[in-house]
Amino acid sequence: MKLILQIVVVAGLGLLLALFLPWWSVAIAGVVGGLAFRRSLGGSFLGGFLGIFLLWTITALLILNATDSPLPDRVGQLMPLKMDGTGLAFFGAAIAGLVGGVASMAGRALRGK
Amino acid sequence: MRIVTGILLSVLTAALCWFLDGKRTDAVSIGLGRFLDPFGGIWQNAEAPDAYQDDAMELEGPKGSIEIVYDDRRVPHVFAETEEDLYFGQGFATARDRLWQMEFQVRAAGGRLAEVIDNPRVIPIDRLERRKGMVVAAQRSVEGFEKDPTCKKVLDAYTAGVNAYIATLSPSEYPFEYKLLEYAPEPWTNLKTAILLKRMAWNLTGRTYDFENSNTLAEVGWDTYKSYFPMTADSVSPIIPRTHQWDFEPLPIPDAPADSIPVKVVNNLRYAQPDANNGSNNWAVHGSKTKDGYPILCNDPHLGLSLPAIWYEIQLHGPGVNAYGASLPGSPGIIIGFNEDIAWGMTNAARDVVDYYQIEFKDEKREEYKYNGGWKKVEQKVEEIKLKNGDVILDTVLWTHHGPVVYDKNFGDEHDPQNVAMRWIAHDPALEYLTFHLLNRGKNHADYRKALTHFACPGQNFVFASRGGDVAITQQGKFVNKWEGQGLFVMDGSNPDHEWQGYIPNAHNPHVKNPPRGFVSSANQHAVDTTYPYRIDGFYSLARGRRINQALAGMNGVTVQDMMQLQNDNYNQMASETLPGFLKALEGESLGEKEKAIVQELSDWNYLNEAGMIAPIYFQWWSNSLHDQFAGVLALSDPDHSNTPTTYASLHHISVGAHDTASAFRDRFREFVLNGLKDVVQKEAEWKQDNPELPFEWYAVNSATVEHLARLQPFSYYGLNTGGNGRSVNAIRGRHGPSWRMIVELGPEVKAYGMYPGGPSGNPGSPWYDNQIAPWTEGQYQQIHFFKDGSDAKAASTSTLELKPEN
Repeated sequence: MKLILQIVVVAGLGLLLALFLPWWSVAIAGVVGGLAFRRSLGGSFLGGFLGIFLLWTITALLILNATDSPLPDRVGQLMPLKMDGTGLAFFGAAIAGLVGGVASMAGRALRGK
Repeated sequence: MRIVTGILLSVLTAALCWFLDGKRTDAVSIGLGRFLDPFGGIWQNAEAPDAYQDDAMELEGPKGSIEIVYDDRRVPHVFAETEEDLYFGQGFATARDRLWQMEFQVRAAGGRLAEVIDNPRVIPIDRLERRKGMVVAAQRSVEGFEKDPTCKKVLDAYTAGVNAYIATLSPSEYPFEYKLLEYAPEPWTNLKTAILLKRMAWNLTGRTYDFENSNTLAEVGWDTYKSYFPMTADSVSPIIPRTHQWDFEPLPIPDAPADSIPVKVVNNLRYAQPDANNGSNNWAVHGSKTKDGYPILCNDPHLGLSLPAIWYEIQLHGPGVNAYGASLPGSPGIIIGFNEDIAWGMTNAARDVVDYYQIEFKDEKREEYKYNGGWKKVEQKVEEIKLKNGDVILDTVLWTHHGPVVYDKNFGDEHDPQNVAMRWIAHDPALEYLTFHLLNRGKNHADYRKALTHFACPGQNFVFASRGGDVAITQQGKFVNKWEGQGLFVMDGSNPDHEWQGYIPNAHNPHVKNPPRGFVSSANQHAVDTTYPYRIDGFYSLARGRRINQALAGMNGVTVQDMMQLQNDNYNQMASETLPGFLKALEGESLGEKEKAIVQELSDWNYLNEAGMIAPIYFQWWSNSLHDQFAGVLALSDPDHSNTPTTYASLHHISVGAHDTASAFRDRFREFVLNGLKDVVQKEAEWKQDNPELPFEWYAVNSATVEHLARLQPFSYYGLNTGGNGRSVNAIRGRHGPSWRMIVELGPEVKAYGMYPGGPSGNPGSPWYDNQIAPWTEGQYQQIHFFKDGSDAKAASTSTLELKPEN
């Protein structure tokens, strides 16, 4: 339950910050998510990771679905591991999720007990 | 303890953010976080088919309301009340679709790629552009433009329109390629427009054979040279019909100096040169030859094909002008197109207006060079090339009165030419834009002739047709009145007699109006026959012109459909004229099974280079082999660095045997042909081994390619399934081909058809980026919407963008 709440907070904050700040605002969302919930370090990582991962995946897939643009497929082919547009959405989200997760761990650790 | 972990993890987070943000100068990889961010990265460039919706913007710049109306092909139609607003609107609309392309092309031509591409290979490319003086040429142009009130007004307005669009962009809205290469758009300037026009000028005049010619001449001597490289040939079907009478008193042709032809072996250019086949077709059929009695004008310029497309289709409607056609992203006006009264198009004149001069410096300091028995001062220009990592490379370019010393000890190595200065007509100021400005507004033949007088470089064959019933063609440019052999070879920079002595007056340039044959045409062949008093050295293509003239001469009751067929004609004229000779030479020879099969395939061939055929492949390889063997007959020690006779000339000589020196090798003809056939057998085996995944069909070998400007494979098309070849009217060959096919019928209502390999949008995230590739491949035309006024346009529009002045 705590995990789900943390995911919602991280994702929601991530969405809000994305309106004003560049992509690295996912780290801020992660740190805040880590500070806000008293969980294990591993649990914090999971919350931060999933919050950002879901935010980016859902947003990217919504864009893909709404536009039917060939761009994500094409960019996917530029990646060293070739992938399609859907794969690219997950790939980008995993990278941002990693930042969110580590940031969340940092937030948790900085809070102390 | 926890706090230490916390700090360490914070540092790790920051490091990850830094790494994934990119913009590092020490790494090749892009910042994946920034790049793949769905809120600001490439996902924001994903565009739906209906991305352009009705919209209005208030901007600084417009004097009144500007309407940019998009039709169902998403071509913009700009409606404005003043000239300034019209070109502001063109600049805005073009930037909205093509911003990155406009900037990137100018960046390349201005020698500034290294600023945005972190690859040492681009540095010599940048240096070469600087050494050619591209920006100097453009600056001189701009000085001229800014003194002319019309040019200044139009250029200023266009520039303001582009910059107004750039000002609307947030980083998340930057075109895709800026995100990939991690840089930001720069303000547009009038200079950038001039650089773009110089880029086009270089592409169409920059191919030189001076170095190869010098090497060939040094080996074979002047007489043999002349016989193998005739200025013109009987087989040419010139642009101006042979029956034409010249109606002017020619200027005296300068005398060739006693030591006229410098015989000297020089190094050859290794740097990429413009394609010699940057050619084109255009023709106009007089109403007396058409079914409906209206003149029909056709044009398909052949250029290196790229995405975003070279051309940008647009209609410009303003005070005194209603024109439609292909524009160049980065330049105001319409370059190839039509209005309610006239239509015009262009092909390359391919006249030699770039000459190289060997420079002898006084000493190692290279401050003075020999000229006319004395010494002349060198002017130094230091070029600063900024690299992406912040470093700066300095390159000193030495300028002589001829022009810049492009090649010297500081550029390239011992294999490159040394101390040669370039004289290029495009370094002289001229008002090329004005020609298009006046053509866009032209009403009749007199207006067309007047418009052309401003055009200097690149020399073009301007075809013309009017609703009034005239058809005409003019080869226009600033051409040099040369003595025989002048500028064919690297010239002596110290000898004033080797310099250009004067220019051919515009009124003496080849021109014909309403010739008795009922049509005018050009396809990069010689403009004139030998009765023309001036020298017309250049590089020419013969086969297409012959085919077009034969086809048009044989037609009556011409329709638009006939013209579509002719533009897409895959008939291989060269094969039809030479293959029978090859096959005849083989009669009585005992051939192997494979050879027999090849001969059978070719005997059954109808000379069409259709996509799915095998015979065109065999012919192509056979004629290539013969070209090389023929070059061997000239016994040049270094054929790669010499000029060899054109394939067409070679094959024609061999096949017809009409040339007086041909008897020597006529006996060896059979041997050549047999060797060629063996080469074909070997080539086929090699090709099949190298391309196991491809079908052995003409299109796969011809490999029609339309590549993204940054050479991104997933954004490009390779091996398009289409016919044609370099010598058929449908001149699709590798990366080269018809970049815009236009047909205009000038009746009471102008009807026009067009297509180009690309699409209106430059955004690879838009379905409009490449929507015309498939119809182009299949030769399917789309009817152009040419509107009388804004209300017409809006009735047929899919969306309208209104630009309004700020309150």
